[in-house]
Amino acid sequence: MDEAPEKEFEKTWSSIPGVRGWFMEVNNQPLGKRFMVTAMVFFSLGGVLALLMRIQLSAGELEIIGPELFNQLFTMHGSTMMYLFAVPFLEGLALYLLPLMIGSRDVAFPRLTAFSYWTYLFGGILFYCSFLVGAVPDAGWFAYTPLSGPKYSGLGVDFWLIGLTMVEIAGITAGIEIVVTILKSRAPGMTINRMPLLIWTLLVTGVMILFAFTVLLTATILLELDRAAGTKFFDPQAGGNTLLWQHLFWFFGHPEVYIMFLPATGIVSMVVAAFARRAIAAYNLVVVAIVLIGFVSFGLWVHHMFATGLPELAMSFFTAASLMIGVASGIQIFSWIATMWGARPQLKSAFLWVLGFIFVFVLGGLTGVMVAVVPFDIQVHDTYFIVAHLHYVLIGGVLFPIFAGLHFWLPKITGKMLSERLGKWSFWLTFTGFNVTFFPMHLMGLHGLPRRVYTYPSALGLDGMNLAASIGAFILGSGFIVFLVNFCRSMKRGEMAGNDPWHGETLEWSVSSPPPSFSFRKPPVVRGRSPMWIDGSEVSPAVARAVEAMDSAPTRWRATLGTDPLTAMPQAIQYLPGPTIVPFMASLGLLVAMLGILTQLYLLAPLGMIFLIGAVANWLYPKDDRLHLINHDPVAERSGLPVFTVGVNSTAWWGMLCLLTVLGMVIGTMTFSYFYLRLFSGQWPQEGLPPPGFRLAAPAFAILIGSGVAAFLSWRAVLAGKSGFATWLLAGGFMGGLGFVFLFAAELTGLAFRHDSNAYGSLFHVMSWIILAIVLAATGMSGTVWVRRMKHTDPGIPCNHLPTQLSSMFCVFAAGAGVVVFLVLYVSPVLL
Amino acid sequence: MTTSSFASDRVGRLFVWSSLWLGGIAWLLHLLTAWALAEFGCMSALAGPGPAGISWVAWGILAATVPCLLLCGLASWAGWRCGRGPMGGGETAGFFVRFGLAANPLFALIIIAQTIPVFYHLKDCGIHIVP
Repeated sequence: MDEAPEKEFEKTWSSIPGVRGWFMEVNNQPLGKRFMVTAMVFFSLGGVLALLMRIQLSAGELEIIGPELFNQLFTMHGSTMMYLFAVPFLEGLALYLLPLMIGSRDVAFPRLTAFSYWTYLFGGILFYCSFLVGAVPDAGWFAYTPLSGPKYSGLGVDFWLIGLTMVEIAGITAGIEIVVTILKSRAPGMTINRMPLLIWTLLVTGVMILFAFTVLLTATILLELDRAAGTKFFDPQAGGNTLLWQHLFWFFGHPEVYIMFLPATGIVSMVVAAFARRAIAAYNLVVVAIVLIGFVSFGLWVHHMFATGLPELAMSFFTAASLMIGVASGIQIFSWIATMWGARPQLKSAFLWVLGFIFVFVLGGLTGVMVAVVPFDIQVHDTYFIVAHLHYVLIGGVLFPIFAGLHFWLPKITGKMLSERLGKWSFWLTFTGFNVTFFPMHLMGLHGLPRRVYTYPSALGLDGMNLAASIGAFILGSGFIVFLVNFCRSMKRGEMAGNDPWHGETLEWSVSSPPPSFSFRKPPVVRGRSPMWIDGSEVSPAVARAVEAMDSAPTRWRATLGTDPLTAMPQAIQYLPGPTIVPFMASLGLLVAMLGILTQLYLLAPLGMIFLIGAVANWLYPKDDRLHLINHDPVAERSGLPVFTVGVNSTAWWGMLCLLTVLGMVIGTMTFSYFYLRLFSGQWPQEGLPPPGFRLAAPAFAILIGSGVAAFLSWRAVLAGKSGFATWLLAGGFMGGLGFVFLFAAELTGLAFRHDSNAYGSLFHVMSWIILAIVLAATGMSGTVWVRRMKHTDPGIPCNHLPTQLSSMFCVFAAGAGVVVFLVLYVSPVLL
Repeated sequence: MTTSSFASDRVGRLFVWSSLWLGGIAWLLHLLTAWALAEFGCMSALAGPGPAGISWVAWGILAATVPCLLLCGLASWAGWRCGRGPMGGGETAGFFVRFGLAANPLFALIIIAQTIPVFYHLKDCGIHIVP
């Protein structure tokens, strides 16, 4: 091969140097590393907060830290670990490893990765800026109402809510990234049944994030509206309900722990297979277990609310489901044991962390089965028994696998081996310190020591156990310090790692350490579940042609192979964007908007949103020069694959599907909240308000339905080759959307009640604003696509088809969501 | 059957997707129905006695369980049927068949486990536990 094309290819994939380039980075490898490093910084901060708490609790009746500060410490410790460390770290590891493991060059939406990182970073910084202004969140990592409501808490909770909003948005966008990348970017031959188990866990986790994080995002917005705008969702005196917050929070909160746990089990599967030098036993059953956990984890949330006075019958379903999910976890554990049985694995540091995980997590799981039983849970709820349980499952189930993963993959990431001696010291210090800290807490809890108390009477006789726990905490902390020393030492003078120090089974071990920014110069072809351990077989001519055409190509723009979600057959050459400042600017706009709400400088909020929308519009709008470059590249002809695709062949279609799933969950969350609050209201609408009239609403929603039909038909017209008719239908849809916005806005301004009148008014107005915002966005998109079609009238240009299809999807969704909102707000008060 | 012909066999794909998803959907429907009935029904007149002295809430949950279990059974049958037909030989389709045959009975087991508590609350929803 000529040297020049290869050099041009490498140049296309290289990062822009300097500070400017740092802000413009979109490649998954540096961004994945940034996620992990940032998460580790937050982990360190959360650890320091824990040590401060343990100092205060080392003996009874100490007054080193007062009650207010203690509340802030446990709130920030929990929030940091749950929101700023565990999930972002695992997302960062996923974003780094995914393309390498599935044989792709990058993730599906590189700009979205960059946006996700900046939004996470800004959200995390916002959390900790609360220390600088003396308004640290103090309502716990769960922020139960009414404590977190406007009456009982201050600015600290606003920091929590707004910081968390940004972090959740970052999480959702990373989830979309992971799902679409796994479905659409796997190397040829990596059929869905040949995916590594880590990829399976990431796929299920990504889908879970779309559902779970959206509910929390909606809930945090509702609580912030209660605090800043006077709505009454959680105010019982105005028809709201404090338990609504708990339902919404724990509907997120329980899947959240599995969102952390599942990727951790994926890491364990990879490490066990590599060190046992055999493929994971019962692969099919483990996949069943992963999918089962993904589903059933959404059916357990009420077990966090056993002490709230719900009917016994309702609670008992959740006891049953909580016990049954242990079956799925058990399948995985027995699979690992079966894999290791008789295999004589090497006891390297990574493997020690896996053994530690099994020991600690099983203990945590046993106490989990205990607290799943209502009578027992009533006794130990809010005691140190629960603190012990949650740390055993989270540290054992998540942190230990994270360290196993770090010891396993850092040689790939950095190109340098870690010291085995320091690795073993780090493990044993952490393992010992962890058990010394948290095992006594089971006993403390059974003796009645409540959690979240800044001190306790020495007369309880628990001083000794608390002192032991505090000493254990420092030993645990020292284990992390040793790991940091190990990492720094390896970077300076670690042994060179080589491509495959562990003789691993998956594709990432086939490339250099550290890997090139493009991951694979030529897309690999996968022939089995363990591609590094099996020899090649025949490749079909179509696959061979596609793969050969992509060897160090295209040279002037970034691309990867787009493949079928099930069969991984090549379908398209998928364009990938290069470095750009736009994601950073979009995230900055979001930050400005959030700061406006936080500081009550409300003018900043719309300014920030305009900036965000402008950046996103610039991001999404197809650039003609780029389209021309892609359209005329010889790689399409050489590969026999299209560079412009529509429908399920396009990553954008899947991205839109994920976005609509998220928006659908928002509508679903609001619908649930509506009927939940209605159930507990004696009168509906509340306070004798008249049911809403149909005079303006009925025609408005009828126009909206018409607009959705027009959008649907516009895509059908494109498929039928009637481009001109499609353009006119798009125009009709655009006008209809505008008509709905004006009519419904007039309806809302004429209502007899306000958003702060009572809970009914809050629900009505907020649901209405949400549907207005969705329709406005869909209308904006359809208008843009309509204008673009008017400018580019040549029906032979395929690049107009995808925007038309995506616009059609969005508009149809908006119409459907409108129907749901109409039925809930206008029809249900009459019929039910 | 090759992987690519699996991809083009519409009926085969329908059977395979049913085997993959129906069990989970059945479980989800059961949970939502049972919980909604328990949470909302227990606060209403449905908590009162119905036929044979059993509360309407209990009857509702039992009634919801039957079709959900049938759905799991249908999903398992779809998987078994795929395995016996021309689809069974393909690697990917075979994986889905085995997946369905393992997952759907597990979902059915969880549905049954979630229904057992109803038999302890046939006449009422149980007391509200006051912490």
